[in-house]
Order: sequence, then C-alpha cells, then structure tokens
Amino acid sequence: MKSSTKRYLNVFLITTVIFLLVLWLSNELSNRKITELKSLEDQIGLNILSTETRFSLLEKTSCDHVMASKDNSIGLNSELAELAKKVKFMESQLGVNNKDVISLNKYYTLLQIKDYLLTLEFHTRCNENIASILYFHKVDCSACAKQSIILDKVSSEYPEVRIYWLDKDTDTPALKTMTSLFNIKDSPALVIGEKTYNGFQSYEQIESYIPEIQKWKKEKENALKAAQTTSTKTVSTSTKK
Amino acid sequence: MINAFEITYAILLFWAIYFQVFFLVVFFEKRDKIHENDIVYRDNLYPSISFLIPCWNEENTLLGTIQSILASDYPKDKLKIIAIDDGSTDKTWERLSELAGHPQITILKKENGGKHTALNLALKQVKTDLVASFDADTKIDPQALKNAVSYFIKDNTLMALGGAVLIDNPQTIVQKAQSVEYQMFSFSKKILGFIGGVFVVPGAFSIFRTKVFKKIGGYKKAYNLEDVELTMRLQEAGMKVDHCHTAFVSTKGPDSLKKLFKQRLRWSYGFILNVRDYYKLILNKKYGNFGLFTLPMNIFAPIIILFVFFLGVYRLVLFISQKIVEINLVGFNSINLFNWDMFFTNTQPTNLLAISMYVFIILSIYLGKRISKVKTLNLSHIFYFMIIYSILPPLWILKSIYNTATAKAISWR
Repeated sequence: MKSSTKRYLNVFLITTVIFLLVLWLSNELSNRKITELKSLEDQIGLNILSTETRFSLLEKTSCDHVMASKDNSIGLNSELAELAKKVKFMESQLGVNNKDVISLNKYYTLLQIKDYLLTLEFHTRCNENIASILYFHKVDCSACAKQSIILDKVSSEYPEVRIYWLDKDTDTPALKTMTSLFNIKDSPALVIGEKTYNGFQSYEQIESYIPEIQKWKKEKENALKAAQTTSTKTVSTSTKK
Repeated sequence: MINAFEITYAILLFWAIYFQVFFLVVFFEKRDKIHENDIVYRDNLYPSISFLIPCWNEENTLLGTIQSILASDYPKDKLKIIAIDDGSTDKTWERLSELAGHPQITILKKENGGKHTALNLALKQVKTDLVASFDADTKIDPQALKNAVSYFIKDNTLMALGGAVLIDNPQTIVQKAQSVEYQMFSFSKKILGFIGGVFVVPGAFSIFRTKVFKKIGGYKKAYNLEDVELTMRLQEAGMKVDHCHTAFVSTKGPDSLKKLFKQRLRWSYGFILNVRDYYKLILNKKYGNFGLFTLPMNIFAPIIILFVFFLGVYRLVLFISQKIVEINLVGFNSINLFNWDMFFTNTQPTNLLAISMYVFIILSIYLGKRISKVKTLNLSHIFYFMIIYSILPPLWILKSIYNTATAKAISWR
C-alpha cells in the first residue's frame, strides 16, 4: 500500500512537472512572438523617424530623394498590415487585458497615426497622391469583423492603398484626439480622403470613395482594351490567311 | 487567454496526462517483470481446465473455435470443452451434435435465457481445477493456454486471469481501426494487471479457479455486460486478478460502423449501470488500485472525450461559419484556406497540453504493439483509428448517457 501511495504522489509530481513545462513553453513561445512584434514595431518606428527627419530637411532635399531612399516609411505598407494581423492574433491568444498586448497595441497605434500624418505631409509638400484609409474598429463587434474582411480584400487587391487599423479601445490620448477630430461615432468607421464614413461600407463603396482606384481601374481597362484589339487584329490576320 | 473555460480544460487535461503518466511509470517500474511468467512447466504440472462456450446462433464460427481449442499445446486429458446452445434458432445445435461422443467435449442445450444463464448452467458441470470462459466467434493461439495457465501454477493466490484479445486478420476499415485499439488495450491491460487493477477479464477469453464461483457465485445478467460485473465482484472480494499479455486469442470484431456502435453502446451503457451498482468501490482505498485508479480513470475518460469532442465541434462550426461570411463578402477566390505562418500556430497552454496528450496516446499504441508482439507497424491502421475513434466514442457515450437517463425515468413510474 505504501509503495502504491508513493507511486500516486510520484505520478502527480511528474504530471505537475510536465504541466509546468508546457506552461513555460507556451509562455516562452508567446514571449518570442511578442519580441518579434516589438522588434518589428521598432523597425517601423525607426523608419518613420528617418523619414520624418528627412522631411524636416525637405527644404534642402527633393521629394524624389526621400522616396528613393531605402528606409523610407512610405514603402512600409505591407509590413504595417502584417503587424496588424499579428497584433490581433496575440490579442486572441493572450487576451485583451494582457500587459504585453496592451503595450503592443499602444505603440502600434501611435506608429500608425504618425505614419498617417507623414503621408499627409508628403501629400501636401510633394504633391504626390497616396490613397489611405483610416479604419476604426473594436473587439467584439460583428460588423467590424465583416469590415475587416472587406479591407483585407482591398489591401490584397490594391497594395498601394495604405490602411491604418485603429482599435478604438486602445487607451491612447492621440487616438482619442483622432476620433473626435474625424467625428467618429460608430464602429466600424472609415476615414477616406478626410471624409468620415460611419458604419459598414461594402467593397464597391470603398472602391468608389478612392479616386486613385478609379484611376487605376481605367488604366487597367485601357490596357486590357489595347491588348484585346491587338489580339483581335492577329486573329483577323490569321483568318485572312 | 485565462478564463473559466481555459481553466476547466487545463484541469481536465492535467488528469488526462496524469493517467497516461501513471501507465508509463508502472511500465518502467515493472519492465523487467513483463516476461517473468514466460515459463514452460512439465506437462504433469498443468491443472485440468474446462472451456465454457456459450453459443447463440453461431453455426458458422463454432466449429473453428472448438478446433482451435483442441489444437492447443496442452495435455489432452486435462482439457475439456463444454459448449452450450442457448436456444439458437439456426443450425448451432446440429453442428454441436456432430461433436457428441468426443471424449473432451460436453454439449448442452437449453431454452434461450441470455449468456449468463448459459454460463451458469455449464458451471454446474465443471469438475476441473480451472474454468475458462470463451466466445464462440474467437480463436485461440496454440501456445496461449499454456502461457496463461503458467500464471496459475506460479501464483497460488491468483484467482482470475484475462487473455490478450486481438483482432483477427482485419478486413474492413472499422476492423483495422479496432486492431490498433486492441493493441493499445494490450498495453494498458498489462499495466493494470501489474498493479492488481484489471478492469475486465474479457468474456472472449479469461480463466478462473473453479472455486472462485463457489465463493462469489456465478454470472449475473449485469445489463448484458457480465464480464465487467464479474470482474468488479472479484475485485470487491479482494481476489487477485491478472492479465496475460501472451495468451493470444483473436476475434473478428464488428465489421461496420453501425455494428461497432451497437457493441460499444452496450459496453458503455452496461459500464454506467454496473458502476452505479458498485459505486462504493470508487476512490475507496480498501479496493486498492482498482478503486483508486481503474474506476476513476474509466469514469474520467468519457468526460474528457466528450469535452474535447464538443470543443472540436464548436471550433469547426465557428471556423466554417467565418469562412462562409468571408465567401459571402468577398467571394470564394479571395479566400486563403491554407495560409500557414508559424506565427499563427496556437501556442496557448491548453493546446500544447492537448498535443502532449496525443503524444502519450501514440506512445502507448507503440508499447502495446511491442507487448503484443505484432511486428508490422501499419500507419494506415493508426490513421483509421484516429479518425473513427475521435468521432464515434463521443456518440456512443452520449447515447448511453441518454439511455441511462430515460431508462431511469421509466423505472420511476
């Protein structure tokens, strides 16, 4: 009996050790992910700072110069989108109240606002049009989930469009200023070209709000038409033979 | 995310892993003793034994079963067979009559009354030292009997011994899946044998000292699960019960999902009701590892199986409904079903714990394979096993719980 009691305790100990190891591993893995995200944020932050600095020197440098440099933040669109997804995933894994998630979210939000302002400045100073969407959303809002899917499609169809994912629950004064500045009442809400659209917007609606997209579409159509006419020409010549 | 659900799931997984670790710890403690009973004695030391074969509509398999027993490597004068026709409606009795007059075989015929009545009738005729219960659709390996009886020669206090049941030449996918399951059982049964916690000496093949039945009585109906009930009674009486992993017998096993479901529904339902009758044994120190480990584990297993099943169904429904929403919004072509980025693997504690549980399950399949000396490692069988046994068990567990609940309601009136 004694040896069997001992066995029960030993097994309990071993199980506890396995349990703790798994907890540690889980924690370690999410820490790695957090570190990965933080370094990604740092990198983006550095790029923004670099671009900003160049802008302050803009009197002396040309717009082309800023655009041509490798570490400008204007080219970071895809990285921002990837970061958005990863931050959201960590939120679902660790919970909204996790300390690391909150700080990731705050930093990420600030980075986006900063990038947005830079884009605006670039737009006015260099007369270069950059299509952008400010997207205000919330956790636990079914219309936002739908809106996010639509915006995913927008960003995969038109990678040139800069989409800023702003979580309204992020506790940052800068974001609060933004929401009152753009008169955001609903979630989801979109700001496209300084105009605010409260509530869910369909893919077609969004397309129509962005003049650049209309332009790209026309260009595409023209290119397609040109290709078609050449192909019909070849067909007609071949039938003549 | 830490919430009540995650905590419940983690606690369940903790105990699931506890049971798996327990098996492995006993295995490593006793690994030198696995072959300690592999002794062949002189023929005159082997005691006499009677095989009881209850038959109900077994015209096709019966003779093969009896032939396999007669072909056992065992002294002929000490090996008897008592076959009982339990009111069959086919040609079982005609087949049995062909054997009349055989010096080793006794045939009996009675009105249909259930397996336990057939066994009890035969028990009255037994004059040998040992009794074996045997199914009419099962075949015995020539060495199995000696391997098993050696346990009784070595240990005078041993009262009952279960044999190693395997699936005979699996044909259908369902049988192939069962062959993996039975190998896994081989491992866990041996471990339970080591610690005196055998859950069931299977009706398909088990051996008892004849005096056991004088002490604790014969078979009972026991909700059509007479072997489980008998084992509980043996354990309650403090009798030594062991498992012989080299006493191979092979049975066909249900060949279709429907038949497998029916068989397991009977097992699950019978288990619930028998446990209800013997609830005093649960977590009772007096009954050793059977009360402290075997019963709690067998009660816990269906709980975690149901939990994991419902969680899986919930996640699947959630996933599919999300994908449907996406397809409705942006069309099928924009959906990326398989974008695999390591970053997005779920590394929540419960998910990792669940993975480690599967590792333990695969480990016990492997060890069972080694113990049951099956040479071939058939990955497709393991695959069938994983698929069938992650869907079917929750269903028969639910149905058996439902049956228990409704039967109770009726009996109250």
